[in-house]
Amino acid sequence: MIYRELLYSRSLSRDYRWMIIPPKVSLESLKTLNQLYNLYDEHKHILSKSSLLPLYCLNCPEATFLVSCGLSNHKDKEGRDIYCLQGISVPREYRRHLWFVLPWILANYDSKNLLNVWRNLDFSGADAIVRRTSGDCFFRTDELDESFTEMKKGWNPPSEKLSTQESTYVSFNEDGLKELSHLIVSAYHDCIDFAFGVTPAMTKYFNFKIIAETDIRSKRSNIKNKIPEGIASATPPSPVGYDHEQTIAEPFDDPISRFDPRKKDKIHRMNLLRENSSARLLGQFLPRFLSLFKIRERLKRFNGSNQP
Amino acid sequence: MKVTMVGISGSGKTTYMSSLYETLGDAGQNDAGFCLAPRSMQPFDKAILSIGDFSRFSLADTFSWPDGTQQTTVWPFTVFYNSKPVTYFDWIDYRGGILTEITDIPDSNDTSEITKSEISDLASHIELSNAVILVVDAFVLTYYSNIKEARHRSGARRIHEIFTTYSRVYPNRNLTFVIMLTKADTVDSKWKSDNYAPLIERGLEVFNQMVSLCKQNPAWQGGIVPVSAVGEGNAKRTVVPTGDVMHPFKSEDKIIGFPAPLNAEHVLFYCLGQTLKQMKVEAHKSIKQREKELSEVLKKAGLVNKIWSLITRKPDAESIARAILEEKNKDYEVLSQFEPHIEPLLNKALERVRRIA
Repeated sequence: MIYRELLYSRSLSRDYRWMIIPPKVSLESLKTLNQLYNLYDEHKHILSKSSLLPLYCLNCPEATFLVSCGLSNHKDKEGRDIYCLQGISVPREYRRHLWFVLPWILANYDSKNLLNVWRNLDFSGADAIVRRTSGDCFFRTDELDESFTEMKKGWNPPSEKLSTQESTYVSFNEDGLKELSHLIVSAYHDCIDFAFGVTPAMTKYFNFKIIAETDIRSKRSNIKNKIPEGIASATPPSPVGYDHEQTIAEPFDDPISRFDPRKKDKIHRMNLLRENSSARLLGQFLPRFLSLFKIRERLKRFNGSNQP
Repeated sequence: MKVTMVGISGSGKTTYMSSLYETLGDAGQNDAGFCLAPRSMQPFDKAILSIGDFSRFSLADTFSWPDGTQQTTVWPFTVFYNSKPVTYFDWIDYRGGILTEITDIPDSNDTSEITKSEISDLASHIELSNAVILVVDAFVLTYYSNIKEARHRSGARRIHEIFTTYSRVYPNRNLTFVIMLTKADTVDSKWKSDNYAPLIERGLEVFNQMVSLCKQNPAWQGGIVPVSAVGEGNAKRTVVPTGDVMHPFKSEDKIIGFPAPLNAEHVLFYCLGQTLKQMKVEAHKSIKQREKELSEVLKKAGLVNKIWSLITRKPDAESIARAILEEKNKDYEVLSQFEPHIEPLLNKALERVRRIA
């Protein structure tokens, strides 16, 4: 299986950016990953209570992304912890291979640093890394350890089919990780989007088919509709970070804004963009004027045809 | 109204949110009687969640600094005076790295499109902001003796570029700005004498271009103030020189005492007070304009106007006058809501903020 590494993080004195990106990855896919990371960032205070690293699988048209979010074990020049989104992208044609080895990755991603891209980088020189294109890496199943061989033996015929319509919930803990592996092994179909380590608010923005939420016990069934309304709608309303149009416009109506000269500027600009009055008048009367001509032409034709 | 913080990564923008939470998150904690709460839609459970979101910035809860900001975040707040709303404002916090990335973008690249869109968003926020807070690390200002180096390393140079462009594009636009000298507790004691007077002078020297723009533009109101999120003696700074010309030092601050923010509320009060003062001027202009329109419309009122409006199916002068009157009354109502708070806000702010004029 061919895969490529990706890393979104910051270094000693350069702010968060795409440090390593796979080749030929679309802007849309990067935006999706950015959105995922932003949501993680907003909810990391909840997710960090678990000893497990959150793990996400997202299928985009050109590739499948298997990424984790968390601490990088580095600090910036201000002494602040550096977080990251890191992992791998697997080209579309190797999707099934990924799905095949995924249970093994799940069993080892934390202990063997499988998705840790930072481990191969020299932190002192990392300020210079901006949008570096990653090369091809190879994942050979015959080189895997015994655990994978054992796992392959236990590869049972699919016993159940995951619903493609509704999500399946597992818990965000060791048991949940095992359940996730089991679900992947027993699923019929190709790679599906899953999130191991999310809050209810995070799931709203993606179409995850397997979800390991914080504070939700394993239900091992399709229970999306059964989540208490209070939990499902517990989106913190104040930070508005996703909708650019909404963030630049004011999210709430402010009575004082009637006196804001900036608003007037905006209206003035909009008026300037409109047609000027003479153009508008011309636009209104020209069609009428032309239609008069047409009527005349028709009358002439009518009179002409009636003449002997 | 909108208030945007402008400063490079690590200058202390998000930490200032923590100071605001500590000083204004609860009305009982400050003598001015003002407090802040996140604006949220009802119902109650959501309102409580949004308060929880704000309180996550508490330094007193965790005794640790907030993580750096990854994305532009808008915090809608309401300012209360004795439990009654005074005004609303949107607080804009963003990834400080954008400021240094303005000139870093390669020619054409997919990911640079993301950065470009971030920069464009930041520009839009600044464009629509009534007040901006220019956030600069006081320690950086004083660490470099070379003024040009201090200007470059602190982000002042980039800020100058942004606001010189702003003043060129909007030569007559009102703007309130405060130069906020963060981490003031960490500077050497020689900068702290006479209520931080030497530090303020250094700040004015570094921000010479902003001072000059403010003096040239009568519609600009500027101020400068040293701020600390934890207060004197409550943080221990370790500075390690690296010998690397790119990053001459590394620093780490540990909170060692109960946070008692210094001058945090004064910055916000100055921004709000000055903006409301500008709104007051606009409100009076609006009222005057409506009165003028009203008298002109009323001159046309009468039986002939009524008949003509019936024929043309347009509103008559009386109903137009009624609508103008309604708007004028609304102007008065809104004005009366915020006008009494302008003076207390500015009086409190000017106890610590030094005006640039």
